[in-house]
Amino acid sequence: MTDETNPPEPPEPGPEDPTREQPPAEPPTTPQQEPRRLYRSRSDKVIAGVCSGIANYFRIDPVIVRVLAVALIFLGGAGVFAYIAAWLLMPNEGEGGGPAEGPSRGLTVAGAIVLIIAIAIAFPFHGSWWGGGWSLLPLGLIALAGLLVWRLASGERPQGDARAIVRAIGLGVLILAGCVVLAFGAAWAAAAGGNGVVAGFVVAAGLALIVGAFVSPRAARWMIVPALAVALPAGAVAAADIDVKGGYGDRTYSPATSAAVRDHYRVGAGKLVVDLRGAHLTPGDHAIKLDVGVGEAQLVVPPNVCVSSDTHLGIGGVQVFNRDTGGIDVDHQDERIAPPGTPRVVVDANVGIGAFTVHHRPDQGWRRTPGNRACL
Amino acid sequence: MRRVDLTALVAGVGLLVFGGVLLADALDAIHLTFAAYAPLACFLVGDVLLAAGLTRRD
Repeated sequence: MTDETNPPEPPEPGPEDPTREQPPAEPPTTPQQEPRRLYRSRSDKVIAGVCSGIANYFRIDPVIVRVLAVALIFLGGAGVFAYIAAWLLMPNEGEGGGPAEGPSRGLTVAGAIVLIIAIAIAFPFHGSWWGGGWSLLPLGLIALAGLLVWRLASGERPQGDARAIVRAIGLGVLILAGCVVLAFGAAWAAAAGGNGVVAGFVVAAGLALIVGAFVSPRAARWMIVPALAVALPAGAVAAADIDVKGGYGDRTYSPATSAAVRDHYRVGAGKLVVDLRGAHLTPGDHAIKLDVGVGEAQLVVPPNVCVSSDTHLGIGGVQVFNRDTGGIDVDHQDERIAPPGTPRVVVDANVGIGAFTVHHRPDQGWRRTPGNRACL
Repeated sequence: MRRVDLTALVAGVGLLVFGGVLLADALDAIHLTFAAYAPLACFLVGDVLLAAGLTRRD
Protein backbone atom coordinates (compact mmCIF):
# COMPACT_ATOMS: atom_id res chain seq x y z
CA MET A 1 0.00 0.00 0.00
CA THR A 2 1.27 3.40 -0.92
CA ASP A 3 0.76 6.57 1.11
CA GLU A 4 -0.44 9.28 -1.26
CA THR A 5 1.09 12.08 0.82
CA ASN A 6 4.61 10.74 0.35
CA PRO A 7 6.46 11.33 -2.87
CA PRO A 8 7.04 8.22 -4.89
CA GLU A 9 10.37 6.62 -4.23
CA PRO A 10 12.66 5.95 -7.11
CA PRO A 11 12.73 2.34 -8.18
CA GLU A 12 15.66 0.37 -6.86
CA PRO A 13 16.99 -2.34 -9.10
CA GLY A 14 18.11 -5.54 -7.41
CA PRO A 15 17.38 -9.19 -6.90
CA GLU A 16 15.58 -8.60 -3.55
CA ASP A 17 11.97 -7.60 -2.99
CA PRO A 18 11.38 -4.50 -5.14
CA THR A 19 8.77 -3.16 -2.69
CA ARG A 20 11.28 -3.04 0.23
CA GLU A 21 12.04 0.50 1.45
CA GLN A 22 15.46 1.76 0.54
CA PRO A 23 17.18 5.02 1.62
CA PRO A 24 16.79 7.72 -1.01
CA ALA A 25 19.64 7.68 -3.44
CA GLU A 26 22.00 10.70 -3.60
CA PRO A 27 21.32 12.79 -6.68
CA PRO A 28 24.09 12.30 -9.17
CA THR A 29 26.70 15.04 -9.16
CA THR A 30 27.53 16.54 -12.51
CA PRO A 31 29.92 19.34 -13.37
CA GLN A 32 26.94 21.46 -14.47
CA GLN A 33 25.46 21.44 -10.93
CA GLU A 34 28.60 22.79 -9.21
CA PRO A 35 28.38 26.51 -8.34
CA ARG A 36 29.82 28.67 -11.03
CA ARG A 37 32.94 30.54 -10.03
CA LEU A 38 33.97 34.06 -10.93
CA TYR A 39 37.47 34.28 -12.37
CA ARG A 40 39.47 36.87 -14.21
CA SER A 41 39.88 35.78 -17.78
CA ARG A 42 43.38 35.13 -19.02
CA SER A 43 42.54 34.54 -22.65
CA ASP A 44 40.35 37.58 -23.35
CA LYS A 45 41.46 40.63 -21.45
CA VAL A 46 42.03 44.33 -22.04
CA ILE A 47 43.49 45.25 -18.65
CA ALA A 48 43.15 42.46 -16.11
CA GLY A 49 40.40 40.28 -17.55
CA VAL A 50 37.79 41.45 -15.01
CA CYS A 51 35.07 42.37 -17.53
CA SER A 52 35.63 39.24 -19.56
CA GLY A 53 35.49 37.13 -16.40
CA ILE A 54 32.18 38.70 -15.39
CA ALA A 55 30.85 38.18 -18.92
CA ASN A 56 31.88 34.52 -18.82
CA TYR A 57 30.09 34.13 -15.50
CA PHE A 58 26.82 35.53 -16.86
CA ARG A 59 27.42 34.01 -20.31
CA ILE A 60 27.05 37.31 -22.10
CA ASP A 61 29.18 39.26 -24.55
CA PRO A 62 32.19 40.84 -22.74
CA VAL A 63 31.68 44.03 -24.77
CA ILE A 64 28.46 44.71 -22.85
CA VAL A 65 30.30 44.48 -19.52
CA ARG A 66 33.11 46.70 -20.81
CA VAL A 67 30.64 49.37 -21.93
CA LEU A 68 28.98 49.28 -18.50
CA ALA A 69 32.38 49.50 -16.80
CA VAL A 70 33.34 52.58 -18.80
CA ALA A 71 29.95 54.14 -18.00
CA LEU A 72 30.55 53.50 -14.29
CA ILE A 73 33.76 55.52 -14.43
CA PHE A 74 31.62 58.62 -14.91
CA LEU A 75 29.58 57.76 -11.81
CA GLY A 76 31.83 59.75 -9.50
CA GLY A 77 34.78 57.51 -10.27
CA ALA A 78 33.11 54.52 -8.62
CA GLY A 79 33.86 52.36 -11.66
CA VAL A 80 37.58 52.77 -11.17
CA PHE A 81 37.42 51.67 -7.53
CA ALA A 82 35.03 48.83 -8.39
CA TYR A 83 37.41 47.60 -11.08
CA ILE A 84 40.39 47.75 -8.72
CA ALA A 85 38.40 45.91 -6.06
CA ALA A 86 37.38 43.22 -8.54
CA TRP A 87 40.98 42.94 -9.71
CA LEU A 88 42.13 42.37 -6.12
CA LEU A 89 39.28 40.06 -5.14
CA MET A 90 38.76 37.87 -8.22
CA PRO A 91 41.20 34.99 -8.60
CA ASN A 92 42.92 34.48 -11.91
CA GLU A 93 41.63 31.86 -14.28
CA GLY A 94 43.87 28.79 -14.34
CA GLU A 95 45.42 27.35 -17.40
CA GLY A 96 42.84 24.57 -17.45
CA GLY A 97 39.87 26.82 -16.89
CA GLY A 98 39.91 26.50 -13.11
CA PRO A 99 41.48 28.74 -10.53
CA ALA A 100 45.26 28.99 -10.77
CA GLU A 101 45.66 30.76 -7.49
CA GLY A 102 43.36 32.54 -5.10
CA PRO A 103 43.96 36.05 -3.85
CA SER A 104 45.91 36.32 -0.61
CA ARG A 105 44.20 37.43 2.61
CA GLY A 106 45.88 40.79 2.44
CA LEU A 107 44.66 41.34 -1.11
CA THR A 108 41.16 40.25 -0.09
CA VAL A 109 41.04 42.82 2.70
CA ALA A 110 42.50 45.51 0.44
CA GLY A 111 39.94 44.64 -2.21
CA ALA A 112 37.09 44.78 0.31
CA ILE A 113 38.20 48.23 1.49
CA VAL A 114 38.41 49.54 -2.07
CA LEU A 115 35.00 48.01 -2.82
CA ILE A 116 33.42 49.76 0.18
CA ILE A 117 34.86 53.06 -1.03
CA ALA A 118 33.47 52.40 -4.52
CA ILE A 119 29.99 51.70 -3.11
CA ALA A 120 30.15 54.80 -0.94
CA ILE A 121 31.08 56.92 -3.95
CA ALA A 122 28.38 55.40 -6.15
CA PHE A 123 25.74 55.84 -3.41
CA PRO A 124 26.96 58.91 -1.54
CA PHE A 125 23.93 59.23 0.77
CA HIS A 126 24.03 63.02 0.59
CA GLY A 127 23.12 64.71 3.83
CA SER A 128 24.31 61.85 5.96
CA TRP A 129 27.07 62.23 8.51
CA TRP A 130 29.89 61.26 6.15
CA GLY A 131 28.87 63.88 3.57
CA GLY A 132 29.49 61.78 0.49
CA GLY A 133 31.49 58.69 -0.27
CA TRP A 134 34.74 60.49 -0.97
CA SER A 135 35.13 61.18 2.73
CA LEU A 136 35.52 57.41 3.16
CA LEU A 137 38.66 57.51 1.04
CA PRO A 138 40.87 58.78 3.89
CA LEU A 139 39.40 56.12 6.18
CA GLY A 140 40.25 53.47 3.63
CA LEU A 141 43.76 54.83 3.27
CA ILE A 142 44.17 54.87 7.05
CA ALA A 143 43.07 51.22 7.20
CA LEU A 144 45.56 50.29 4.47
CA ALA A 145 48.28 52.26 6.25
CA GLY A 146 47.39 50.41 9.45
CA LEU A 147 47.77 47.09 7.66
CA LEU A 148 51.14 48.22 6.27
CA VAL A 149 52.35 49.34 9.69
CA TRP A 150 51.26 46.07 11.25
CA ARG A 151 53.06 44.13 8.51
CA LEU A 152 56.23 46.19 8.96
CA ALA A 153 56.11 45.87 12.74
CA SER A 154 55.26 42.18 12.93
CA GLY A 155 57.29 41.11 9.93
CA GLU A 156 54.51 38.71 8.98
CA ARG A 157 52.02 38.53 6.18
CA PRO A 158 48.40 39.10 7.23
CA GLN A 159 46.89 35.65 7.53
CA GLY A 160 44.09 33.81 9.27
CA ASP A 161 40.39 34.53 9.11
CA ALA A 162 38.77 37.91 8.49
CA ARG A 163 38.68 38.64 12.21
CA ALA A 164 42.44 38.21 12.46
CA ILE A 165 42.95 40.58 9.52
CA VAL A 166 40.63 43.19 11.03
CA ARG A 167 42.48 42.80 14.34
CA ALA A 168 45.78 43.39 12.54
CA ILE A 169 44.37 46.51 10.88
CA GLY A 170 43.06 47.75 14.22
CA LEU A 171 46.41 47.21 15.89
CA GLY A 172 48.19 48.93 13.01
CA VAL A 173 45.85 51.92 13.17
CA LEU A 174 46.36 52.10 16.95
CA ILE A 175 50.13 52.16 16.42
CA LEU A 176 49.65 54.84 13.76
CA ALA A 177 47.56 56.95 16.14
CA GLY A 178 50.18 56.58 18.85
CA CYS A 179 52.86 57.55 16.36
CA VAL A 180 50.94 60.70 15.39
CA VAL A 181 50.87 61.71 19.06
CA LEU A 182 54.58 60.88 19.35
CA ALA A 183 55.36 62.86 16.20
CA PHE A 184 53.56 65.98 17.44
CA GLY A 185 55.15 65.60 20.85
CA ALA A 186 58.63 65.25 19.40
CA ALA A 187 58.12 68.18 17.03
CA TRP A 188 56.82 70.37 19.83
CA ALA A 189 59.63 69.36 22.19
CA ALA A 190 62.26 70.07 19.53
CA ALA A 191 60.66 73.41 18.63
CA ALA A 192 60.42 74.41 22.30
CA GLY A 193 64.16 74.13 22.76
CA GLY A 194 64.45 70.45 23.62
CA ASN A 195 66.03 69.51 20.29
CA GLY A 196 69.13 68.19 22.02
CA VAL A 197 67.05 65.90 24.21
CA VAL A 198 65.03 64.63 21.25
CA ALA A 199 68.24 64.03 19.28
CA GLY A 200 69.62 62.06 22.23
CA PHE A 201 66.42 60.02 22.31
CA VAL A 202 66.77 59.21 18.61
CA VAL A 203 70.38 58.09 19.12
CA ALA A 204 69.29 55.94 22.07
CA ALA A 205 66.46 54.43 20.01
CA GLY A 206 68.95 53.61 17.25
CA LEU A 207 71.26 51.88 19.71
CA ALA A 208 68.33 49.99 21.28
CA LEU A 209 67.25 48.79 17.84
CA ILE A 210 70.73 47.56 16.98
CA VAL A 211 70.97 45.64 20.26
CA GLY A 212 67.37 44.46 19.93
CA ALA A 213 68.01 43.13 16.43
CA PHE A 214 70.36 40.57 18.00
CA VAL A 215 68.74 40.02 21.40
CA SER A 216 65.02 40.28 20.78
CA PRO A 217 64.25 40.68 17.07
CA ARG A 218 60.45 40.54 17.40
CA ALA A 219 60.32 43.23 20.08
CA ALA A 220 62.82 45.37 18.17
CA ARG A 221 60.66 45.46 15.05
CA TRP A 222 57.75 46.97 17.00
CA MET A 223 60.03 49.88 17.97
CA ILE A 224 60.90 50.87 14.41
CA VAL A 225 57.80 52.86 13.48
CA PRO A 226 57.54 54.79 16.79
CA ALA A 227 61.25 55.65 16.59
CA LEU A 228 60.79 56.96 13.04
CA ALA A 229 57.76 58.93 14.24
CA VAL A 230 60.00 60.74 16.71
CA ALA A 231 63.02 61.21 14.46
CA LEU A 232 61.48 62.52 11.24
CA PRO A 233 59.39 65.42 12.66
CA ALA A 234 62.27 66.43 14.94
CA GLY A 235 64.49 66.60 11.86
CA ALA A 236 61.96 68.72 10.00
CA VAL A 237 61.79 71.13 12.94
CA ALA A 238 65.57 71.35 13.04
CA ALA A 239 65.79 71.93 9.28
CA ALA A 240 63.16 74.66 9.41
CA ASP A 241 64.72 76.28 12.49
CA ILE A 242 61.31 76.36 14.12
CA ASP A 243 61.24 77.91 17.56
CA VAL A 244 57.93 78.11 19.41
CA LYS A 245 59.26 79.78 22.53
CA GLY A 246 57.38 82.92 21.51
CA GLY A 247 54.04 81.25 22.20
CA TYR A 248 51.25 80.76 19.70
CA GLY A 249 48.32 82.73 18.37
CA ASP A 250 47.82 85.85 16.25
CA ARG A 251 49.56 88.97 17.51
CA THR A 252 49.46 92.52 16.18
CA TYR A 253 51.84 95.23 17.35
CA SER A 254 51.13 98.85 16.43
CA PRO A 255 53.62 101.10 18.26
CA ALA A 256 52.47 104.71 18.54
CA THR A 257 55.92 106.29 18.69
CA SER A 258 59.32 105.67 17.20
CA ALA A 259 60.70 104.95 20.67
CA ALA A 260 58.04 102.30 21.26
CA VAL A 261 59.26 100.18 18.36
CA ARG A 262 60.93 97.09 19.78
CA ASP A 263 63.99 95.50 18.24
CA HIS A 264 62.61 91.96 18.44
CA TYR A 265 59.15 90.48 17.87
CA ARG A 266 58.41 86.77 17.95
CA VAL A 267 55.59 84.24 17.72
CA GLY A 268 56.06 80.49 17.94
CA ALA A 269 53.08 79.49 15.85
CA GLY A 270 50.55 81.92 14.38
CA LYS A 271 50.46 85.28 12.64
CA LEU A 272 52.68 88.16 13.65
CA VAL A 273 51.81 91.65 12.38
CA VAL A 274 54.04 94.63 13.09
CA ASP A 275 52.28 97.77 11.88
CA LEU A 276 54.59 100.81 11.88
CA ARG A 277 52.22 103.23 10.13
CA GLY A 278 51.45 105.07 13.35
CA ALA A 279 54.98 104.98 14.78
CA HIS A 280 56.20 108.18 13.05
CA LEU A 281 59.67 106.74 12.64
CA THR A 282 62.52 109.18 13.01
CA PRO A 283 65.11 109.48 10.20
CA GLY A 284 67.86 106.88 10.35
CA ASP A 285 68.01 103.12 10.73
CA HIS A 286 65.63 101.05 12.85
CA ALA A 287 66.70 97.42 13.18
CA ILE A 288 63.91 94.95 13.78
CA LYS A 289 64.13 91.19 14.15
CA LEU A 290 61.04 89.07 13.42
CA ASP A 291 60.86 85.37 14.42
CA VAL A 292 57.97 83.10 13.55
CA GLY A 293 58.19 79.33 13.98
CA VAL A 294 55.17 78.29 11.93
CA GLY A 295 52.87 80.90 10.38
CA GLU A 296 53.19 84.33 8.88
CA ALA A 297 55.19 87.44 9.68
CA GLN A 298 53.85 90.66 8.24
CA LEU A 299 55.51 94.08 8.34
CA VAL A 300 53.41 97.12 7.47
CA VAL A 301 55.18 100.44 6.87
CA PRO A 302 54.06 103.88 5.66
CA PRO A 303 55.10 104.97 2.14
CA ASN A 304 57.75 107.37 3.48
CA VAL A 305 59.76 104.53 5.03
CA CYS A 306 62.45 102.53 3.20
CA VAL A 307 62.67 98.81 4.00
CA SER A 308 65.86 96.76 3.72
CA SER A 309 65.28 93.08 4.44
CA ASP A 310 67.18 89.88 5.07
CA THR A 311 64.87 86.87 5.21
CA HIS A 312 65.47 83.21 6.08
CA LEU A 313 62.73 80.62 5.59
CA GLY A 314 62.77 76.86 6.08
CA ILE A 315 59.77 76.30 3.82
CA GLY A 316 57.57 79.06 2.45
CA GLY A 317 57.55 82.33 0.60
CA VAL A 318 58.70 85.92 1.03
CA GLN A 319 57.18 88.98 -0.57
CA VAL A 320 58.61 92.45 -0.13
CA PHE A 321 56.18 94.72 -1.98
CA ASN A 322 56.43 93.61 -5.60
CA ARG A 323 59.33 91.20 -5.18
CA ASP A 324 58.72 87.67 -4.08
CA THR A 325 60.29 84.25 -3.96
CA GLY A 326 59.72 80.95 -2.18
CA GLY A 327 60.65 77.31 -1.78
CA ILE A 328 62.75 75.47 0.77
CA ASP A 329 65.81 76.87 2.54
CA VAL A 330 65.05 80.37 1.26
CA ASP A 331 67.59 83.12 1.92
CA HIS A 332 66.33 86.38 0.47
CA GLN A 333 68.26 89.64 0.73
CA ASP A 334 66.74 92.90 -0.44
CA GLU A 335 69.24 95.48 0.69
CA ARG A 336 68.15 99.06 0.15
CA ILE A 337 69.68 102.43 0.91
CA ALA A 338 67.62 105.36 2.14
CA PRO A 339 68.34 108.95 1.17
CA PRO A 340 69.40 111.28 3.99
CA GLY A 341 66.54 112.30 6.26
CA THR A 342 64.49 109.21 5.43
CA PRO A 343 63.72 106.52 8.01
CA ARG A 344 64.91 103.03 7.07
CA VAL A 345 63.71 99.78 8.65
CA VAL A 346 66.37 97.08 8.54
CA VAL A 347 64.43 93.88 9.11
CA ASP A 348 65.87 90.45 9.84
CA ALA A 349 63.04 87.95 9.41
CA ASN A 350 63.24 84.25 10.31
CA VAL A 351 60.27 82.02 9.53
CA GLY A 352 60.44 78.25 9.97
CA ILE A 353 57.44 77.27 7.86
CA GLY A 354 55.23 80.01 6.43
CA ALA A 355 55.57 83.42 4.86
CA PHE A 356 57.03 86.87 5.35
CA THR A 357 55.43 89.86 3.68
CA VAL A 358 56.06 93.60 3.63
CA HIS A 359 53.34 95.99 2.44
CA HIS A 360 52.01 99.49 2.97
CA ARG A 361 48.62 98.10 4.03
CA PRO A 362 47.85 95.05 6.17
CA ASP A 363 45.13 93.72 3.86
CA GLN A 364 47.34 93.22 0.82
CA GLY A 365 47.78 89.50 1.43
CA TRP A 366 49.93 87.79 -1.19
CA ARG A 367 49.63 90.50 -3.84
CA ARG A 368 52.48 92.28 -5.53
CA THR A 369 52.08 95.92 -4.68
CA PRO A 370 54.35 98.85 -5.48
CA GLY A 371 56.46 100.07 -2.62
CA ASN A 372 59.88 100.96 -1.27
CA ARG A 373 59.79 104.18 -3.25
CA ALA A 374 61.34 105.94 -0.29
CA CYS A 375 64.59 104.07 -0.98
CA LEU A 376 67.21 105.19 -3.44
CA MET B 1 71.10 30.18 17.19
CA ARG B 2 68.88 33.25 17.21
CA ARG B 3 68.44 35.02 13.85
CA VAL B 4 69.36 38.68 13.53
CA ASP B 5 66.50 40.86 12.34
CA LEU B 6 67.88 42.74 9.32
CA THR B 7 65.13 45.36 9.32
CA ALA B 8 65.65 46.30 12.95
CA LEU B 9 69.42 46.37 12.43
CA VAL B 10 69.20 48.63 9.38
CA ALA B 11 66.66 50.90 11.10
CA GLY B 12 68.90 51.10 14.15
CA VAL B 13 71.97 52.11 12.15
CA GLY B 14 69.91 54.64 10.17
CA LEU B 15 68.45 56.16 13.32
CA LEU B 16 71.88 56.28 14.93
CA VAL B 17 73.21 58.30 11.99
CA PHE B 18 70.09 60.47 11.83
CA GLY B 19 70.16 61.11 15.57
CA GLY B 20 73.84 62.01 15.32
CA VAL B 21 73.04 64.63 12.69
CA LEU B 22 70.24 66.04 14.87
CA LEU B 23 72.57 66.12 17.85
CA ALA B 24 75.24 67.93 15.83
CA ASP B 25 72.65 70.49 14.75
CA ALA B 26 71.43 70.93 18.33
CA LEU B 27 75.02 71.57 19.43
CA ASP B 28 75.50 74.06 16.56
CA ALA B 29 78.26 71.93 15.08
CA ILE B 30 76.37 71.90 11.78
CA HIS B 31 73.39 73.78 10.36
CA LEU B 32 70.78 71.31 9.14
CA THR B 33 68.78 72.56 6.13
CA PHE B 34 65.94 70.98 4.19
CA ALA B 35 68.32 70.38 1.32
CA ALA B 36 70.20 67.97 3.59
CA TYR B 37 67.22 66.79 5.65
CA ALA B 38 65.04 65.65 2.73
CA PRO B 39 67.46 63.09 1.25
CA LEU B 40 68.49 61.98 4.74
CA ALA B 41 64.86 61.31 5.71
CA CYS B 42 64.21 59.50 2.43
CA PHE B 43 67.34 57.42 2.98
CA LEU B 44 66.21 56.52 6.50
CA VAL B 45 62.69 55.47 5.48
CA GLY B 46 63.84 53.91 2.22
CA ASP B 47 66.46 51.64 3.71
CA VAL B 48 64.02 50.42 6.38
CA LEU B 49 61.38 49.57 3.75
CA LEU B 50 63.98 47.96 1.52
CA ALA B 51 65.32 45.86 4.38
CA ALA B 52 61.77 44.85 5.34
CA GLY B 53 61.05 43.82 1.76
CA LEU B 54 64.24 41.82 1.42
CA THR B 55 63.74 40.14 4.78
CA ARG B 56 60.24 39.05 3.84
CA ARG B 57 61.54 37.28 0.78
CA ASP B 58 63.83 35.04 2.80
